[in-house]
Amino acid sequence: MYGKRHGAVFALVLIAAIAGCGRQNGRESGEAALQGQDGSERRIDASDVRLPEGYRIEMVADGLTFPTGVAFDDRGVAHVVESGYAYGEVWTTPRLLRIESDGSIAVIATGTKNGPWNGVEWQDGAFLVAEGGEMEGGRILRITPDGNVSSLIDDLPSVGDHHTNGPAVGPDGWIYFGQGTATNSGVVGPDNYRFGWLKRYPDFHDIPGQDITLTGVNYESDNPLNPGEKAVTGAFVPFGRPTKEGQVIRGGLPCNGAVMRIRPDGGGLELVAWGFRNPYALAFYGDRLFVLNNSYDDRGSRPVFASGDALWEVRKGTWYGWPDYDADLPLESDYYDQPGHPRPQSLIRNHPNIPPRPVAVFGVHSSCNGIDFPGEGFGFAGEAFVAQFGDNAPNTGKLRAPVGYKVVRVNLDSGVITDFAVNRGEKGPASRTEGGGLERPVSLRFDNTGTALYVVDFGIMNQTEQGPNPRPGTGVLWKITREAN
Amino acid sequence: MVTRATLHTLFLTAVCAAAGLISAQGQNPDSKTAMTETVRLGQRHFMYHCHRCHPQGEVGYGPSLIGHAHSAEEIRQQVRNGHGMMPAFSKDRISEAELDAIIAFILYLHENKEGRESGHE
Repeated sequence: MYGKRHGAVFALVLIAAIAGCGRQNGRESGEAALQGQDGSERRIDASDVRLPEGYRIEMVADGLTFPTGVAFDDRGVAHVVESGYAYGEVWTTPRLLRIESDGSIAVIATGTKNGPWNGVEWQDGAFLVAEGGEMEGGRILRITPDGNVSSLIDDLPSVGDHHTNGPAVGPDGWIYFGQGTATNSGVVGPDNYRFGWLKRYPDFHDIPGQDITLTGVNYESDNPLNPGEKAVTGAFVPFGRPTKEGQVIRGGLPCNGAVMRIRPDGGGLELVAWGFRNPYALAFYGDRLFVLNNSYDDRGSRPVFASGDALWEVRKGTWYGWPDYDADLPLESDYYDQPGHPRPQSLIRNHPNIPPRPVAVFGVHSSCNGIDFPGEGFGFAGEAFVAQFGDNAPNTGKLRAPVGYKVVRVNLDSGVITDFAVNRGEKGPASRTEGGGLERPVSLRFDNTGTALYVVDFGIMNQTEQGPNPRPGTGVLWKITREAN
Repeated sequence: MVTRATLHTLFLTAVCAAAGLISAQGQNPDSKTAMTETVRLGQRHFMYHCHRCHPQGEVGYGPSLIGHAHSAEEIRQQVRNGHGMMPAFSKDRISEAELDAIIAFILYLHENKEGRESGHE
């Protein structure tokens, strides 16, 4: 199915691209309204973004639909992937777009209804795209600049809550990627029905990276597959199936909640590390691999409170704690015993190891989704830059105020987190505060010179009582540079 | 009399103020005072233990820590005893030396809370 053009769809998306993208380029100040494809508007004003002194931000492209990543070819031309799927069960067409220096946009390739396309990387004359695989399972795609699409690996266990993410090319030439978990904390529940996938795949569940022995803890919940009935469900099994103490769950590859790697030809699948929840963003700093892990939500049969996303340096063969630890804290500790909400019990009896201490722990529900390291000349050498998508409250847990919606930097030695690009005025996405700045920074990458930071802004995705409400056509690509001294 | 709830608010307010004031160079250019080594150490421990609920010292999962003066002892009691949704932190989790540094960082933040942009609690 890949490598085959879908003429009608291609024509439609091309029209949309011409009509909706690249209308503004290099705009630093002055207001403009961005018309989303559903009629919603987003005001753009780069001057609403606060940066450290000596830095400037401009908009490179707008009108994007659910963009999730940017990469640069050998010429340094920016390419953006559009997801093709957003929470809220909104399906569009996954696309790889070339962003020319004049702001014009060309469609390089399109995908099918198997998004989200989560991130893009450039390697040896082609782009690597992580196809999330919400409908048919995850894949790592190789896309040539002339639009030929092939799959390096497929059938990744990706039809649940979290998808196939990344990828990142290591100094060894291997392709590293993340695979998220099916569930929030190991137990399939009604929350997965609301996400949409439990109805499609009632037998789907998490697969561990190695054999594990269960404690036999089970959870009773409503049964959305048979309304009016109850269901009892254990860990690492399909919905409605209880487990017993001492029960062994076979692990294997591919698995969930893991960083895995393949050779450039797609073969040789290996486990790098596991015990993540949703290792959404990967980046190498020299030969050191860093991963941003989206941590637990306050939802489902086994909710977890006050869990912050973590930045980890990945050690091969290590287990990073999911579903029984939050960073390096066991969920059974009294830290997670909150009024009216007893602490979660451990699901795994034989933890492979005690998880290492993370480099940094971010604000609860800040949703840290993009990471990269600057080159010389940008400043803050050796620090990680992180894009924070922002919270999805109240659907993932309640907050007192918006969290995230900005770019921060992290000192790898101290773990100190500092704002880098943040909206002026009230906290939150620009559309909610009537500003023209950042909406939902979902990814970032320095250009080939390391001196310009491109920030991918997913666009408007409000949360309602009915769930997420993402707005097509409201995504933006920003560029941050350091002014000459 | 200072209640536990008040202590909780005071502690959180101060912690949030601290983190949020750190500038691009690791220190707010508007700071009245320089960061001592103890304050820097406290900043590191704050990031690990406190930042998740009070990101950059501001309101998030927990309340804002900015804008309320409080004593070192009040902060210490709040951390050790917890309150409401905030857990207690034992000496096994945060040592006395680490807590001393965190308190120094919080007090530093409070001293340097001016200069923040409006809209941040």
